[in-house]
Order: sequence, then structure tokens, then C-alpha cells
Amino acid sequence: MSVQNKTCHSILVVEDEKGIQEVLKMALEMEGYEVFTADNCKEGLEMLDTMPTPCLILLDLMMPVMNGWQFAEAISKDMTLATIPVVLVTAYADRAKLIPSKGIIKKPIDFDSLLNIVKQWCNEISN
Amino acid sequence: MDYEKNKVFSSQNEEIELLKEEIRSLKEKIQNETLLSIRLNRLLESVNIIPWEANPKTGQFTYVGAQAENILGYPVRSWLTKDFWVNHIHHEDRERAVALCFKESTTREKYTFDYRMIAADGRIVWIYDIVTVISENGKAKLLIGYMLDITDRKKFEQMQEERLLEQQHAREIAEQTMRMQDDFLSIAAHELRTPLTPISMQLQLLEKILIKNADSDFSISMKRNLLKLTQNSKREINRLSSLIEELLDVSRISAGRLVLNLKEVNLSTIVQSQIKRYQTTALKVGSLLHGRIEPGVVGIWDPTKLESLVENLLTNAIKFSDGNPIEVRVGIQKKSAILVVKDHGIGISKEDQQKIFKRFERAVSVKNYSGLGLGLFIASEIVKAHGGSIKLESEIHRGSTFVVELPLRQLANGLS
Repeated sequence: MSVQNKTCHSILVVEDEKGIQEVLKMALEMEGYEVFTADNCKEGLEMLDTMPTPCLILLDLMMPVMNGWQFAEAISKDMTLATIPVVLVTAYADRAKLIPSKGIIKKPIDFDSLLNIVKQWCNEISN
Repeated sequence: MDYEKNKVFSSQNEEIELLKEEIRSLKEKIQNETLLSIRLNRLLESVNIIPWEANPKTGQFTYVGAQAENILGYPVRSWLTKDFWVNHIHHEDRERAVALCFKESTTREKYTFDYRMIAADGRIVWIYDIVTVISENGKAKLLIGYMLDITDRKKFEQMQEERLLEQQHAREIAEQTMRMQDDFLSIAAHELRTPLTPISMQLQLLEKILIKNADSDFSISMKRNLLKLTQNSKREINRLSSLIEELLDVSRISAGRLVLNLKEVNLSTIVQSQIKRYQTTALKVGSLLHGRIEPGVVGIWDPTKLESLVENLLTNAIKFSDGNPIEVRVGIQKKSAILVVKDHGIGISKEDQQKIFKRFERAVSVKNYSGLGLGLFIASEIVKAHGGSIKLESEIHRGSTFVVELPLRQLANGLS
């Protein structure tokens, strides 16, 4: 399953909480990834149209406008997006099971486990 | 001639004697009857009941016992006036009582009913009326009956009913308060957790940066300080977040949302790793965690909940160990996994043992021992959810032993 795209090192972070969004971006950039952020799912879908196809989407579930479940359903219907692995970032690990994902990261987020999962799907730029 | 005379005379005498005898016996009979009637009357009118007779057509009394006056305060003669009964029934009961009386009197030989009457002094008196219908040729000719004053009984019943209602009301209020507290707890915990996530991530990142940039311009001691600060903050954040998780657990339990995610779990491994994790904490208070873990105790449980169960029991034991060693045992007995956590600390009094597993209960003052008083409640709820049991043996100053029994549900393959 874990076929890495050697040329891809971008990640889309969909997270409505600025504090978490920023620190995720910072941490992932420090590890050498290219990070795009979206404040909500609607913005995330728009972003996917304009940015290079990411190798991973980090998706928060509980968000206003359009929640993570709806977002996951939307991209699963789009042929070009359906193959992008999604990793859920949520405090509600119990309820996250309904979404097909490559992993669940429980809030409060532990960085080491986050980076471990990301590493499985993405190449750092420096590689 | 004399003889004849005598004969006539004696026969007249005899007749007189016979008549006298008859009169005497009649007198005696009358006397007896009078006595009986007096006695019966006395008996009838001595009880706290009103005997009565009435005309079934008009409902007018033709006789009432003398006690009628004592019980309701109206003189007997006014009872015998037209419509007395109807006019003195409580207005709320009047229609029902009168209708019932007329209906039953035409269809039944005996019936009872109750209603309220208004006494001369305005008091409400509850009457229980027992009626017998005397009929002739299928038509009611006379009603006779007894009125019992049942005001005390009714008052008692009413009081009980009121008390019941009050209790119910109090229970409803208590339940509502509880629900509000639960809701509040849930909201508070979620709200508290929200800012915690970014703070904790920022600290983690800060620490990472410090470690990575070992060759920065900071002096070694400065870097050591910075690292120490972030690490300490991280530790406090972890403490805060585990308190919040505890609150969330409780709100989930009280909302009935303690859902188990069952899978094959190795209890031995969980306990081993928790012992490892808490050994430093234990050593800080002078206690050593000593494990006697039978390997491969595998069952179908919820791994996260089990972890939290072990965690709660261990932190509880460490907190109250008073610097004495703590023994942790895992094994199998019959078809159950057994987990024993035994400390030799301050112990729990008999009285506190009853309530220790309840929500927010604590056997010790919050001054000396911190915590929310939720750990053992959560532990016991987790055990209950798994269909197991948790027992406590304890003696003041001798320590406490918690024995958890968890049904294995399904034995895994290769159980050793």
C-alpha cells in the first residue's frame, strides 16, 4: 500500500484551529516537507484544485462549515483525489473509524508518532 | 253443696294463679327485652359510628344514633329533617355520592362508598358509609347503615401521597441537577482540552528545536535551562491533560457512552509497561513497584480502557503507599484474569471502603492528597463494563489490596 511518490513532498493540513495549524506547519516544514494549510474543508477542497497533488492530507474532523466526514466523502468521489492518503487528527478516535484513512492521530498530538506516520507517506525535500 | 262450692272456688283460684303466673312471665319478658334493648342501644351508640335508617325514596333519615351529634356536631333532630344528608355533603362530592346512593339502592342489597361531609363547625369529615337495602317485593323499602368517620385514615393516606409526590419531585430535581452537572462537566472538559492541544504541540516543537540546534549561540547552561523549562512545562501539560481526560471519562460514563472497543489484549504486557512507566514516579515517593506477572494473560478486552484501569490503580497505590513497596500481580484463575494491586500504605477505613468507588468520593482530604477523586470510580466502571468485579480489602495503617477479576470472554490461541 505504501507506495511513495518520490517526487512528492507536499502535505495539506486541514485544521480550523490556528494554533494547531501553525505549529503543525512549522514542525512539518522543519522536517523538510512543503506544507499547505486550509482553515476549513471547503477551503481545503479549493486548495486541492490549485496546489500540486499532495502526498498526504492531515484532516481534522470537528470543523465548522463542512466537517471532516463530508470532506472525506467529497474527495473519495473525485478520481484524482481519491488516491491521496488521509490521516485523521482528532480527539474523537472512536468516531473516526467510519472514515477510510491511513491512520488516526489522537489529540493531544504526540509529535513523534505524527512524524512517524507522515514519513510513511511522504518524502522530505532534503532527501 | 260445700263440696261443690269449694270445687268452683278452687278452680277459680287456679285460674287466677295461672293468670298471675302468665303476667309474671310476661313482665319478666318485657323486662328482659327492655334490658336487651337498652343494652343494644348503649352498645350501638357507644361506638364511634353513626347508625342510621333512611327512606330510600327521599333519602331522609328516619333514625340516627345519638353519636351523630358528637361526630358532626348537628343535633339528632336536625338530621331527621328533609334533605339534611344531601345538604351537608361536601359540594365536590355531592353529585357523585347522591347519584351513587340512589343507583346502588335500586340494584344492590349491600354497598359501601365514601364522601366528605361538612361538620357544624365547618370541619371536613370523611365518611365511609356501609348501606344495607331492605326490600319488599323487589322494591327498596328501607335503608339502614353505618357511617364511619375515616378522616384520620384519609389524612394519613393524603399525607403519604403528598410525601410520595415530594420524594418524587426531589428525585426529579436531583436527577436534573445531576444531568446539568454532567453536561457542565462535559462542556468544561472539552473547553479545557481545546487550548491544551496547541500548547502541548508548541512545547514539543520548542523542545525539538532546542535539541536539534545544539550548535546554536546559546551557552550550554542556557540551553540546558531552556530544555529543562520546556520539559517541565511538558510534564505539567501532561498532568493537566490527564486530569481533563479523567473528567471526560467520567462524563462519558455518566452519559452512558462508555463504549468498549474489544480486541485481543495481553494484560501481562499492559501491566508490565505501566509498571515501567510509573516506576520513576513510585521511586520518587520511596516506593518500589514490584511485579509478579504471569506472562500471556490474554483476553478480549478494550486495550485503552484496560490501560487506564491499570494506570488508575497504580497511581492510587503510589499516592497512598506512604513510601512502602507496592506489589502488582497478574494471573489467571478459572476463566478470569486476576489483577492484584497491593500497597502497604495508609489504608482505608471500613466506612470509606463503601464509598471509595463512587463518583467524586475521596477517603482523604484534598489538602494532603491531590486529585479529583475520580480514579477509582473510573476504574470500577471500566471493570463493570467488562463484566468483571473489583474488590477492596483494607486496614487502616496496614494498606489496601485491590483485586480485579476480568472474564477472559474468549481464550486466545497459544495461551501459555
